[in-house]
Amino acid sequence: MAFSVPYLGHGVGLRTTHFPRVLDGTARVDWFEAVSENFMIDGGRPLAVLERARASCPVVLHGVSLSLGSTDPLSKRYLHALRALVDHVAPAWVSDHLCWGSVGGRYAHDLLPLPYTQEALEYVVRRVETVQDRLGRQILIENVSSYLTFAHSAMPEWEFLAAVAERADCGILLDVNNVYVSAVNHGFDAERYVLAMPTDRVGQIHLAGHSDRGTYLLDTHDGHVVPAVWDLYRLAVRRCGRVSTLIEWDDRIPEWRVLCAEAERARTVEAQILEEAYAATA
Amino acid sequence: MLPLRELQARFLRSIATTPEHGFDPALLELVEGRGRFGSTERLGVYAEMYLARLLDVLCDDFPRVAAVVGGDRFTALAAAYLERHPSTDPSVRWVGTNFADFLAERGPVNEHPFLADLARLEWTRLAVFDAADAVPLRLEALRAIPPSKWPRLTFHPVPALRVLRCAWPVHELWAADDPKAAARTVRPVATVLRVWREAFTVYQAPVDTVEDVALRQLLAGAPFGVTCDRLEALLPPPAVAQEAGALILRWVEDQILASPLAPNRRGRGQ
Repeated sequence: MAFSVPYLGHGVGLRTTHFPRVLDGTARVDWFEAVSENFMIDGGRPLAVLERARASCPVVLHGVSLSLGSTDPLSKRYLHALRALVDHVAPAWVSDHLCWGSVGGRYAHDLLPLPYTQEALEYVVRRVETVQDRLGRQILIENVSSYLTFAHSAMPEWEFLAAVAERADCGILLDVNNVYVSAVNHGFDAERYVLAMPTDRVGQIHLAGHSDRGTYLLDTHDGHVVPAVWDLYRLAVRRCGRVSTLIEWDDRIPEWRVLCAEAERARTVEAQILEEAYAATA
Repeated sequence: MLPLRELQARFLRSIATTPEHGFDPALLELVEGRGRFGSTERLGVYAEMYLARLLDVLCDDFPRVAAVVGGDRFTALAAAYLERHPSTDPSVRWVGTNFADFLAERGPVNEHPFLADLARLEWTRLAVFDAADAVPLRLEALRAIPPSKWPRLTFHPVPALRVLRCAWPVHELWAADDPKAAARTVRPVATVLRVWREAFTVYQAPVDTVEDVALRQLLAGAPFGVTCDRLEALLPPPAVAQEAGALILRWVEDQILASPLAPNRRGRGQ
């Protein structure tokens, strides 16, 4: 069993704020990440923008509603729509989150935490395998920011994530900001999390900003990446090498040049770490 | 320890119901607290995010309704709606599916009896915004059709066309710079609105009785001749063909007729 995705460089999210730039061809970037559900529609401007983006650079699809950890049956309608979008867009890869978001047919539209138990592990592995079968391709699963943990969890999140990836033979989208947010909220060592990742399965990295709410950090994606997360990114690059990296900026989205500057900063950080690694072995 | 399904059911119930109901004690026992960030506060983060996220979606989808009702009252209205109609679709795009009907069921809500119609207009605009694309019928294609074939000619509406029947002129509220101020003077008037999209822009316009009848025939797939027959009940015979022809020209200009020559419609109804 193996996992492999191409290296795309440093990208940004495809968000409505910058749709005009995509349409007029001035949104130049290594690659875009599009939220799958936003484009599971019949037509109109969003799909036209996605097609235009795809014509100019690689695009990956990132879902928020697959609900991989839900005990509800997987939505056949959703999977059908996702498969149709995948066939239409031909993304470099498809990803979603290690979480649940629905039960009893009701959707929270949030990324809710799982207990890290053997029961949940068996369950999620089967679900990821089913999704991969339906899509005809491997997917990447992303660690989420969380604000609570369950007392009956039998293993830390990083072991759970790595076990799902190995057993379901899927990739990992390592959200470095989420690792940091959860580490602060739960009091674990963020570096230990990153160092526990199976490097051959990490196909993408997310970087984002968050908010300090006093007693906890909230994953808000509404600002610059903070220094501690840049440090964690350096560690991730040292550990995993070159990995396609994306800046997530979903609220209070800045002008295009600011967004691109953040992606460029990630490129510079990556280059510095790789040069250091090369120098150390030369 | 709760089975996973039971845990998830209790979790969602806890964060999706109003705070006065409190959190499920059996769930709270499973949540690890730490210092000032205890188990109740931790679950509270999810409860707060649940309402905030879906409230944002409803505000985005129904901006004029939100403006008329006002901040806090819209929040309360949205919370009541979400309790009554929790989301049942993976995409947040459909969270507001039942909002207009919910407002209608509540009767003359918040002294604004037009609110359900206004919500219906905003929801219809969304449906038109992301409806399937189609190649519009061009005037040149129309001119190429010999007069003898017109009576049996069937036009096809583009997917991005809706007709909305309202008891209030809600298009005026929608277009008002200050919907809240406009709401104070609006009076009930039976209104038929045509909602359509040209390129990526959504428009709406009131239609008169003649266009309403013609639109019904268009949406029913009636041939042009049948449409003219229906218009004879409204217009003097000499004016029927001229009026019907003028409507077709307007619809072509507004791009609400699909090209019969479009690949996705080839072979249908010509």
